[in-house]
Amino acid sequence: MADPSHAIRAYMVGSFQELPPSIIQDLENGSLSLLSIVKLLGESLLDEQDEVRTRAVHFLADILAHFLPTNPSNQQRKPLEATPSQDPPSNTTSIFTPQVVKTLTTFFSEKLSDAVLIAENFAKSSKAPQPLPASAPMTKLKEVEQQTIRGSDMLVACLNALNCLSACHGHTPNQPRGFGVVESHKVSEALFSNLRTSDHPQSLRFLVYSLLDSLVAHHRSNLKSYKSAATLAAEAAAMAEDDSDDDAQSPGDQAITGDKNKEEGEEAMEKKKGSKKEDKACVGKDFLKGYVKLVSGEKDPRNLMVLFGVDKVLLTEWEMDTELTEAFFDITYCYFPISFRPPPDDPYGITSDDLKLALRGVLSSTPSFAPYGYPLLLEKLSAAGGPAKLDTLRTLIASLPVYGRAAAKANSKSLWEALKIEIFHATDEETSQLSCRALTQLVTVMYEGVDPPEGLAPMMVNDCLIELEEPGKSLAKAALKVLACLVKATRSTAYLAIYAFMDQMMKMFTDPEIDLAVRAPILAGVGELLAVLAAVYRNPEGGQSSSKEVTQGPPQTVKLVGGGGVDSISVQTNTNSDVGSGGGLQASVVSKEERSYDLDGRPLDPFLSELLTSLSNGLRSTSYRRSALHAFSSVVSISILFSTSSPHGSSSVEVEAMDLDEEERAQGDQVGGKEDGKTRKTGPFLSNEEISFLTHNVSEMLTLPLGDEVREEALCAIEVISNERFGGGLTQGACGAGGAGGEGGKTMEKVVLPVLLECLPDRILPQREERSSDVTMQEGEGTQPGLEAVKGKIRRSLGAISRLCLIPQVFDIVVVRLFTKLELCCNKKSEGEEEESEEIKEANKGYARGIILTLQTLLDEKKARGHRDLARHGQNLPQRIVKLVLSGLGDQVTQAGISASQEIVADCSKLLATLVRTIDKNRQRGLMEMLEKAFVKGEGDLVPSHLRGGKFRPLELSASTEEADDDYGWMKSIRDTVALYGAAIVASCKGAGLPRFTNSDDETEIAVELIRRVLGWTLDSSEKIRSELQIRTGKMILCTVVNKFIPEPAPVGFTAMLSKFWEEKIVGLEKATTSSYSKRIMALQVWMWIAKGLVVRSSKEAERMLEKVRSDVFERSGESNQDDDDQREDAWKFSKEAARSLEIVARSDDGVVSKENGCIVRLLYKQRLFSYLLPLVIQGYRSHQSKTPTSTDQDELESGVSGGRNPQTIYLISLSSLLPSLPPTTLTSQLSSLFPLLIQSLSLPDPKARSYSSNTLTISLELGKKIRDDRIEKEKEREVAIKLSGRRVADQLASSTSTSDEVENQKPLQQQEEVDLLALNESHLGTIIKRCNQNFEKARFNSTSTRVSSLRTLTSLARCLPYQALRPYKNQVLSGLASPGRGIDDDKRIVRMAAVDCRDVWYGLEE
Amino acid sequence: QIEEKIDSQEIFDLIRSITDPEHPLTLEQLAVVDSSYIKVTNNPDRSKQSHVLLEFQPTIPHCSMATLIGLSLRVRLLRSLPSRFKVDIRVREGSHQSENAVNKQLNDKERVAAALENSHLLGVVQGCLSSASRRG
Repeated sequence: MADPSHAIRAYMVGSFQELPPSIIQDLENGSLSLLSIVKLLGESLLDEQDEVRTRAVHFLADILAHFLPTNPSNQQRKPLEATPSQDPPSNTTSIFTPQVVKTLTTFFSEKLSDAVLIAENFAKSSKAPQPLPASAPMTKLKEVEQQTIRGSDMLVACLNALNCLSACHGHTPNQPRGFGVVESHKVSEALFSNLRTSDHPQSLRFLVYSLLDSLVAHHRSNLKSYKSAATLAAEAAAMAEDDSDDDAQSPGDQAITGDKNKEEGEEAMEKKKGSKKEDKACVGKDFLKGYVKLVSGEKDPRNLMVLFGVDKVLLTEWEMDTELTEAFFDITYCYFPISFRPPPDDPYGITSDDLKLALRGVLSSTPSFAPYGYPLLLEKLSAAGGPAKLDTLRTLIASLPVYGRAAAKANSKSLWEALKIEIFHATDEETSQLSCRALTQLVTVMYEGVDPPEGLAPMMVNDCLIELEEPGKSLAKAALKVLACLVKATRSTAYLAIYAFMDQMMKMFTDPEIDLAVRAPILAGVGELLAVLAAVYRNPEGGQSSSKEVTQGPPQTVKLVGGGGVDSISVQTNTNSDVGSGGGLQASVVSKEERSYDLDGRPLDPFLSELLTSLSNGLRSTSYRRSALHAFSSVVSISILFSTSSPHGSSSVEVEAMDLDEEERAQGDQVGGKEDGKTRKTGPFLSNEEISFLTHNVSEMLTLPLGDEVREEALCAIEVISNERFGGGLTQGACGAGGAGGEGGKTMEKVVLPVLLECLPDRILPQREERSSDVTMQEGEGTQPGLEAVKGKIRRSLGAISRLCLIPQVFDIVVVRLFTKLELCCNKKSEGEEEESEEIKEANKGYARGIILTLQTLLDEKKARGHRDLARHGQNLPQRIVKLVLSGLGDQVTQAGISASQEIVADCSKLLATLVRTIDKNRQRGLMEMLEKAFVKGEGDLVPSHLRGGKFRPLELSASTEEADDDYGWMKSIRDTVALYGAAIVASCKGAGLPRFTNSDDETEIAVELIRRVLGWTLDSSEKIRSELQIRTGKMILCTVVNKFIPEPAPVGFTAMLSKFWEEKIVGLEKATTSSYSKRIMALQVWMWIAKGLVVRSSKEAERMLEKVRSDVFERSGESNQDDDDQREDAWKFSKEAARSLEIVARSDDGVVSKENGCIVRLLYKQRLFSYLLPLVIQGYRSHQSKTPTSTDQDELESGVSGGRNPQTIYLISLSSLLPSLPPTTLTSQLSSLFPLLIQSLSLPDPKARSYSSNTLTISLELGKKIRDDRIEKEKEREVAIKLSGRRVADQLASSTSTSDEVENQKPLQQQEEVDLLALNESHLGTIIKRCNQNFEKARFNSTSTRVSSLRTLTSLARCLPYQALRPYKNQVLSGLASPGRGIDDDKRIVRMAAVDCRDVWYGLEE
Repeated sequence: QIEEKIDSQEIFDLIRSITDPEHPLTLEQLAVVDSSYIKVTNNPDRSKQSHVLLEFQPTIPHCSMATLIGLSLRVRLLRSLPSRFKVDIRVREGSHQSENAVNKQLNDKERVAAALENSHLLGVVQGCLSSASRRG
């Protein structure tokens, strides 16, 4: 061990920058005591040279900082302090005994004056830096500050040491103790008497304030007794004995004493009210004075953040007299409003908002600020603008509840005037909204629990009513906002506002002399205000606060008793918040009365009849029914909300309401004598009949053609009502009331639904004249012929149903009713009826499809919303659907009914699939068994009786046998029904099983056999009984069955079947006749679908299948081994078609192989597919490029007339069919190799290929632009981040943004280089523009979509590439777009639109 | 292939989203233009001239921006209609106090060309047209 004296000497001469480690060790293991260190330092501490003394003091302070790094705010003190050591040594208490702490505190306090002197001397000396103006650069200022700090080294050391020591109050077991009352006084005295903060730089002031912060935080109660007078010494000596007690206080104790103090303070306040002059209530006056002196004039934001915190504590916890309150007001309000803007390179990250929030906390901390605060806030409100005004309003909102009712009352008029201006003449939305909130807060503070409201509120209402005399004006809207504030604020003001408002509005509405045009804004206003009221009742906050109030006790029962009750309330509130003392704090932000229609005093009842009249009047009118609809939904909402919330506490409500009733009736009589004297005050706001009446009116609007322009509003209104049931039901559940309710749903069920269903006939019948005559009674229907009118009605009704009937309760009914209608409508006419015309038949078909679509829409929407009642329907409906369709099948003689028509079967299968997906595995299995019985065996309930017994074998009908022509239609429709079965197979999960055509129990064998059957069924039947629907069904079944049931690796039976299929149906038909061409294509598509099923599983078999296509079709395309021209043409067409059908494998948006259908979908399968396919295609293209470089072919390709008939073209087409499904990341990484091919594809003899490659170019351009913009953005962020927090964070930022991209697309491509997409495009600009120019003219291979895509590519070029590159082409493009017959003169509108946009962008190009 | 002829609705779509020079509102929102104010006469022979008559209604009778609005409309149609269309742009009858002067200015080729050579004016027109591609 080194001799400690050596180490100390070495430190003194500056060999150590930090504490000598040996000293730390010795102290830790106790071989050295602090006392001996002080002894060793001895002389240096008293040395005459400033530097030596400083060094010695520093040494001691460093020891403290090492062992007592307690204060967390230490961490912030970056520039000055050595970073606190990582782990505080455990044995600190043994080193720092209470005695040591006391002694050291005394020492450092005394040294403080010495330190200040040294700093002053340094400042005067020649070494001091020249003062710089504040506008000097940041770095210069920092430098000067550092120099100054060096001069104040001892001061810094002392402050740091004291800061460490001040935390030694022994609250935690491992903490040294000893810093007690005396010490805190000593330190305060030393600070106040020696320091003048204005002499020192910011970072030093920060230390001072941190020390103050620490003192206030740990020794608040001790400081109260601080005296700066000369008598201090004597008193301190007397107090010293109590130290230990004080020290022992835990933080909890302190908090309690804090509360006690506050209570005492309140009492003091009370006393003060009595005798104003008595100013003795101020605690810790001397400390506060010293504090104020020390901190006044501070300007640095960092320091202010500390100070605001201390200010707030002092203001809330200490009672102050007028003088000090004013002093504190002066040192806080002088910063308001804060206009600080952080400098761009601010390393501390203090934002303007941080400061604003901190200051707002201070300003709204004590009610005693009220007399000074209000005038100032009002002044700022009128004078300031922009952010300052917003800040003022926010501060006002925060302060109002704290400052209390008395103060608010005193300033109410001027506050209202100021806020009124902001609301009535609002400059922007935010100001107006904040002003409204402030106003609401003001009203709440003033009138919470006060009834009737007097003074301000009636005045406000009066002002508003004057504006509302002209309800159409913009000021009236502002007046409505003010009234809304009143409605939101308290019960009594809500009653006042609504009563007065409705009174005036209803009078105006019914006044015959007033212009009818005013009625629309009147109803709109009513609707708006009532919507606010409904929102207040709907708000779940009401529920929360209600529970709070229940625990609090009686206030709400007292409230409405009548005249006598007022007194008791005023007594209560007097003790609570009226005084404006600290009690206001609790009553601040969250306090809200419970609100309901009853508690509000039923403000709408007196106007009920007028309201209803005006509403029904409004709903009938054409000019203002839009407004009436808004009002309607609010009125009914209020009624429903009320009726659901009434169960709790209903008895007391009733009693009160009885009292109110009389009062109100008296009022009502006064107002207009209109009160109809009904005694239904205890019931809900609107009776069921009234609600039904209104709702009926609205729902009629849904179905009548005259409701067209307000249908959306009407739907919304009814939607609100139907959802109200949910809202009410939920709160009810939460309140545990349950039972009654569901009004909204009931209304839907009882009123709306019948109206809607009434419009749906059982089936559409021929319209005779007299039938349509009653329709013409309705306004506007007369112009439509009868059939059209019926159709229109059905359309509107079904539209409304699909939107409104989602609630389970209603949905159940709708499903039943609609299904009945569907069955009726699909029924074949009975024998006696006359033959239906084709038109009626078509109409009924459309009707049936409409019903199915409605059900589908409802199901989809319910599924999206996660309704759980779907499974129930999923169980019952599928059988009914199947039965319905099968019942439409005739026999060979009679005609088939409409339900077996192809479109309806297709729609039904979709519906069936949706339903099957909602049920679980076991139910699916049950369904599958039932379907198997019907479709495979031709038995069971589902098959109609005339087809049982072997007549119904849809899967075995392949009609290779010759049949009579008449039978084809019938057989076709029987085969079509397989679509239903197919949909079930596709949608059900693996466990549901498969139809069995073999006796084996092995699942794979069953599947293979099924596949064999379906292949035959799909492809081998004669064309006469085949339909698109059947082929699609076949493909989908094959795809999903292969995906779900064929194991990996594929069984031999399956692969053998596949190769046989390939040889027979695709290769084998090569030389066959023309008629086989379509069969070949069909077979190839089936092949692709099977491959697709395997691809999503990432199966190896899929690659083998695709390889076959490549080697047998692509590679052999263009070979002219046929003699006949027609045959050659067919072969070529076939190759092209094959190339296109690669799309089937690549695309993933068809929803067939999805997890929802129980398919196996591997992660990243797409990446695997493309990383296999793309190289294959590119390689194929390249290999043929080298073989056939014939110039003639190239020319042909360029001209785009026929295209070279060689594999190269085929590869290009297949590439372009892959392009739309290409994930963007693959595109970016592969683009450089794809690009030449893309440009070639632009002139392929295939419109689809052209538009696909055009689209890909567009995507690459936009993607390139996005990447570039992102990079610029990221670069900017990075720069900012570097400035703020150094490189490390910036790197983190960069890495985090790159990983957040889509993982699925990213992974296999990470190793590839990113290409600059824009540069790539730019390098081929001339060719691209030339080809695009060719592609938007009318030509053989330019379909409409090709033209549009090439125009889009041109647009994107202009949007994304730099002007310099584009300039040479500008005129060429612009004139090309305007030449006759093309571009903006195209035949097709959509092309013209694209051309106009394109021309716009090119016109807009500028340097 | 069926030809979709240029009709008044299409022309309305072209101009409805042009912004007013003074407000951040579109001409449609200000009810300056309407599809019923547009008349299109399509000549079935594409080599002969077809005709568009476009009327607009200034917001107030002494609207100083009427010519500027007209000019914007003119430029927009110049750029987006095929050259076989002759376009007449007029203020609606009785909706402006110096109706004739405005009409004359707007349909004078030379004056329009001269106006567009003024770079400041062109800038304002570009500003009005910048939102035109929204089509409602």
